[in-house]
Amino acid sequence: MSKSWLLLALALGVVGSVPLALADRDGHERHERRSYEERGYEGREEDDDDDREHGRRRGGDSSHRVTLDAGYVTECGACHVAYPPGMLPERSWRKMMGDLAHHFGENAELDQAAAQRLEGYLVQASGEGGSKFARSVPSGMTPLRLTETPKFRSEHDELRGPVPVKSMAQCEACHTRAKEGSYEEREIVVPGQGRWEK
Amino acid sequence: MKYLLGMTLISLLWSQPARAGMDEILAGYQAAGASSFEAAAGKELWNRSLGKNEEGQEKSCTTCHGADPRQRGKHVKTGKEIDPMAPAVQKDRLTEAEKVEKWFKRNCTWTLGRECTPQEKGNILTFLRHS
Repeated sequence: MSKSWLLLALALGVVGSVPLALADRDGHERHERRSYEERGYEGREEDDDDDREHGRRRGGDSSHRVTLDAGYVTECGACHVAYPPGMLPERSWRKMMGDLAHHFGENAELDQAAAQRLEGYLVQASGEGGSKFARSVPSGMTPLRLTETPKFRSEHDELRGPVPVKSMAQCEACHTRAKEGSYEEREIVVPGQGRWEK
Repeated sequence: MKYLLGMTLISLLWSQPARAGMDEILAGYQAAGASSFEAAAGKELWNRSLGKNEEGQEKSCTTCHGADPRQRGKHVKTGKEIDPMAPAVQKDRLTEAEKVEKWFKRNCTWTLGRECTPQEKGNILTFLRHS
């Protein structure tokens, strides 16, 4: 009796493994199911992002998705989307945090303890892994506008206007999960143009 | 029956902190010299416009928050949506003294060009509470 069950199990195993053997991850869909981590870091031709040349990012974030500090989102995401710290180099964050009273024409001052904590977070999170955005900035420049980095411009150079936004810093207008720190291409919906990935 | 009573008590107590927060804040303003608060005065201040600033923006609470506190607002510069100010619609509004002071400081400066007085703040909160 047990022999029959064993044979049955073996048969099922063989039969079950056939579809697995035949399955082919032909990648016909660009961001099909697998996360960046699962796909590995050998680079894929159809993927224009080559951040991975510097190896695995700490914290398991993909290059298009970051985990944002909750306090940062509360304080710095009140008037605009909480930008990923990697969008600017460390020196830009220091400069910005050093003059919150004149934050793009607004007073964004915080109590000292909060300001210090946030600056520490931004400096650490922007430097981690050395994002492509931060490294694209020439050493003589200390931009405060993340829309002014060479990498930002090249990332958006395929975008055709007009786009109904007040500025390109209004990420959430097209990046539908920007509030959660996610900027995956499959999430992009441009107002008036539809999904980025057709 | 006891269970029902217990649950009712708990749920009543649970909702207290929200209102207690604003009451404490208002008490603080009165301790600082304000007299009784008027929703109508708060509404007037809310809708007041002090002209345009250098960027052509109307210096008024309504510029970002809209005239109706029950509706969502929109930041005049960034376009980011702002949750309604009315506690009747947004339960957690105006319950944390620190948060209230932080935003009064920034926004009164932006509109009036100075900090709001305790009287003005209390009037505004009262207006928002009754919206």
